Amino acid sequence: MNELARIRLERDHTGRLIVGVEGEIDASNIDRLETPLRSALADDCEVLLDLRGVQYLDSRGLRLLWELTGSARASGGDLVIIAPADSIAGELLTLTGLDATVVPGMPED
Amino acid sequence: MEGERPTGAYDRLTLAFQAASAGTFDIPLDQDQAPAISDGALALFGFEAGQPVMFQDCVDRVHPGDRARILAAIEASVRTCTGHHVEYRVVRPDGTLVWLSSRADVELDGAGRAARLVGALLDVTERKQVEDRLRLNADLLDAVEQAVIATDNDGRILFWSRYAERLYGWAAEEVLGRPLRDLRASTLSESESAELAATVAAGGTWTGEVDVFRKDGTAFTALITDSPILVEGRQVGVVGVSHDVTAEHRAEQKLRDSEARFRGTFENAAVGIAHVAADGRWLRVNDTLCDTLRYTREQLLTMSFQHVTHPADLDSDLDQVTRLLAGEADSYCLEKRYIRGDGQIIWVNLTVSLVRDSAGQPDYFISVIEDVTERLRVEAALHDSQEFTRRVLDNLFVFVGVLDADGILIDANRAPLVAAGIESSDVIGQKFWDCYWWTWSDEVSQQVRSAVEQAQRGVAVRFDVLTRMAEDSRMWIDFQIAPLLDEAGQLTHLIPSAIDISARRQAELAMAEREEDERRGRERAELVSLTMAELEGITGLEARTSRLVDLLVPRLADLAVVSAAGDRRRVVAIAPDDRELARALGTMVFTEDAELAAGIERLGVFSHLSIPFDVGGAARGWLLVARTNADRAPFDETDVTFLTELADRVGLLLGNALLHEQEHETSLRLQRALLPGDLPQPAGVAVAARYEAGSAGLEVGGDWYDTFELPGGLVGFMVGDVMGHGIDAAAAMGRLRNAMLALAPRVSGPAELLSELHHFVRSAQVTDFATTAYAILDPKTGELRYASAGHPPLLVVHPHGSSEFLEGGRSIPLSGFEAPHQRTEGVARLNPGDTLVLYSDGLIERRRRRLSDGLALLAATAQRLSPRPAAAMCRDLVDELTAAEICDDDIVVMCAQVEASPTAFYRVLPARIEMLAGLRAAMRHWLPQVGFGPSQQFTVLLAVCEAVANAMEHGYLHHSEGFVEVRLERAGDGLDVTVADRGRWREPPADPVHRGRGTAVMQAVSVGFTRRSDDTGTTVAFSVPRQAEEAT
Repeated sequence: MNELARIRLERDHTGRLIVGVEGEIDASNIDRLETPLRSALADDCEVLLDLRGVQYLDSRGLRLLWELTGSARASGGDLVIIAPADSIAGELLTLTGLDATVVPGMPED
Repeated sequence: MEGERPTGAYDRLTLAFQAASAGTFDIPLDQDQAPAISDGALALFGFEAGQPVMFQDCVDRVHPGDRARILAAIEASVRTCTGHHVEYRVVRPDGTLVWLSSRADVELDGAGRAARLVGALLDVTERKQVEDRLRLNADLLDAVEQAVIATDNDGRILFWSRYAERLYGWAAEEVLGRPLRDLRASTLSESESAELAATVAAGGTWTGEVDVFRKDGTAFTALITDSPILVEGRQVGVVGVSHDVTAEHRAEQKLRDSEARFRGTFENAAVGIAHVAADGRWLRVNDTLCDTLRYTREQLLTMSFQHVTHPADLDSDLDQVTRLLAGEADSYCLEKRYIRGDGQIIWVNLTVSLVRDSAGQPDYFISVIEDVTERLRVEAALHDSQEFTRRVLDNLFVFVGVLDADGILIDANRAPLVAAGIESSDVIGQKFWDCYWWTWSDEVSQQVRSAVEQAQRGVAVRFDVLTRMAEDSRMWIDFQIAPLLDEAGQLTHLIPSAIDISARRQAELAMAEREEDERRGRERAELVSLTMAELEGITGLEARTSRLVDLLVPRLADLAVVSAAGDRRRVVAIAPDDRELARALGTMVFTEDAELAAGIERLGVFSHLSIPFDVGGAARGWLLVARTNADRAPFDETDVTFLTELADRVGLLLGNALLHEQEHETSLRLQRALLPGDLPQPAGVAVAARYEAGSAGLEVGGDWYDTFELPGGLVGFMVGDVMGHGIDAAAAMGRLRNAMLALAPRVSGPAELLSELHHFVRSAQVTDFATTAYAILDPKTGELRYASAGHPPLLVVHPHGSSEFLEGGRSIPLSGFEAPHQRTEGVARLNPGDTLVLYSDGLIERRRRRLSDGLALLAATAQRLSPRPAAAMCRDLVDELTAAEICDDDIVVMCAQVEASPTAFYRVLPARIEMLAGLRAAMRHWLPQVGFGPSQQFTVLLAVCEAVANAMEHGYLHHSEGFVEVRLERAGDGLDVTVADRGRWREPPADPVHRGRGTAVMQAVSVGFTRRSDDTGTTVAFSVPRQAEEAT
């Protein structure tokens, strides 16, 4: 993992996997992020992807979210992306009109 | 020998046969009557005395091959009633064969018819054998490539071989029967002739080199061997064998010529020879005499010796002549004076002998005239020459042999037997190639054998070969073997012959050796001068040592190692350049000699020299050369001398290099210590520098540079150059730089700083001469104040292909002289994207180039390279400007690129996506100045980075070393953005989702998006409006 972004894995009290990403996601590190994200999602059918800590996200990151959502659905799982509108990720989703396609949610405490 | 052969020896030989046994016969032609045959005749046929013998009994004992001839002769006698003479062979019952000569007359009966045959028989066996032998000898002597001349005891010519005809130009018919001396071929003096005759008369062999004349008067040197012709122990004549040794002499002469080149005088000492008539007229003169007397041959031949003899010496000479003519002496010797054709008087040593004709009357004088003035000078050399001649004579060897058709040696002359220390019984009857001379070597024996076989097939063979002599010594001979055929063309004998060519060989060998010596000497002199010239032409200890070993290998050795070691520096160069070899030698080259010798033996070295030499001071050098190639000779004394001398001279050069490098290293360390390490990176300006030590590598210059932040956000830049090189210059540079750093915050500007600096230079005696440029940039306004003390003008490069030198603010250099009244300064304005280039003269000055051309080249190169980041600009400027010509001097380049102003932001990035994060960080830093707070920045970052990523991916497809420019400028409330690359726009691989998103994202956050693509690259432009703070 490079310094630009970090991935944090944890489970809530229901045992649901929470994948937290912090930092910046761009073309230089997207490939290195993709592999751990995919493997985390493959093991659990219900996953929360917490993007609130993301400082920068570009069109390549957006494409990865799109693909991850698609593959989760195809495998019958549930990927919830936590990206409120006032976050960088939420801003991008809104800008591109994808906020309706990927499902933003809130972590349940 | 047939009847037409002239007599003399023949007659004498015939006399020897007179005592042979004889008999008579009386044979009635009526065959019923018994013949009357004397007891002597019966004995000749091998019958008992008194035995009754019929005619037919005698016929039966005649050799079958001769019977028909005899019967035919008898029949012809009977028919014609005339006598006959016939010679035939008789085979006796005991197997012996005799030759009979039968001479018969016919007696007639009363009717006039032939009735009886009456005659005498003579045993001519011995004569027949001698005749055969002589015929054989005549044929074989004709076949030999030597002139063979036989005379009787009176000197009349009995035999004159075909080769003699060729050599002397006289045909056999012209000379046979005449006294040999009539031909005047020989220049032997009377006393020499007498000595010759005495030697031969004593049964010995006389050999000598004699100047002889051909029939046409031309002369050559012949090697003559005379031996007695013995018949039953009695001398009946002399046989002489001679051949032309001019070829040998030519080789010897060549050697002497060569020696003369060193000794210089030998050739001047030649001897004049003349034939002088009894009345004193010159009859024949050689070239040397003409030279000695300074007359042409034609002139001399019209004169007498009296003409050229000094008057004071004439009487004594004539007295001697009288004595000779009176027979009181054979020769005389006299020192006398001649008056040369040019009037000069010379002293000569004259030796005169008188030649008498066959009647004993005075014929002519032979005079030998030696220029004595030259003699003393060449005495030593002459002595050598006499020694040499004596050696040649001692070793002289002429060989003539006879082989039968099977190659068996049946006869040979004495010389090769004596020389080989063997008896004739050791070799006669043996296969020729198995004889003592050849059997020392299988190869030689085989060579001789195949020569015999070729001769048997009718082909004459000739070659030089080493033969074995007495005490197992060797001698070179010119060997030849020729077939001898009878009238029917059948091979009867083989004639091998040989002459000693060891003298020629030796001379040729000595010549070759001398030439080899000369060649080696020349080569070495060339190698020394080449080495010194080459080593002087290159600098650096390492370069010099490695060039040295490359020069020695393979010229002189197969392996060469040079090591030189000073206090801190040690250099080892090895040729050939081989890693394994270097490893093997690495530890060896500094070890003791014995250990070294054992070590290199393992490398296949059979000869080596290890030569230590001085490098100056405590430093030591060591040269090791070795030979592994078996074709080479081992090192010899001359190699040692040569290499020691070479090493001494090379040591001086290496010593200089070593000293230089040690000082250079010290200076370099000092300079590195004095120059800044990491330059500060003030806000809004990117600064990079590059320092290149002079590529000559020997001298450190006094160049310096630095960047520092000043109060009020100002940034100072300085660059300078202290005159001179080495430690002093480096130290002065350090003091100047520190002085500037100390002065900069305390002065009002660049001009004042230079004034203060000059005072410091003068008062502290820092240096005699230095140039410097100093500039202060206010990044907020872009204002640049600058001043130069004799330094080349600073350059400003604009991002898109233009530049300008800052020509203002110039004043004289810093020096120990009085300061100028005032220093001036200039002002310029730099915009984001502009690059200030500070440099030392090493960047622009080249030999044979005008300074203005150097400046123009710098500007053009910087424009071409622009835009690129400061660090890349520094690197590429140095690389490009030193690519064409190596620069001896140090080079300093510092580039300061303005990246931001309160209203504009500029970056130029290498086309690598890793650069995006840094770009975002820089934008985040700048954006608040134009009103974009942290919550408003994302759309700007997103739009710019999407555009830059596109430029990197599409413009360069990640492959090129290209750059992407980003410019942001405040426009009203928002920002105008341009992103430009210099690549060619290429469609990326089909990826509709991605591309759609990238462009969509950009367009979603910007307005007025345009993209312009052409050959020079692609420029994307758009505006980003500022979002309201409260936007969600």
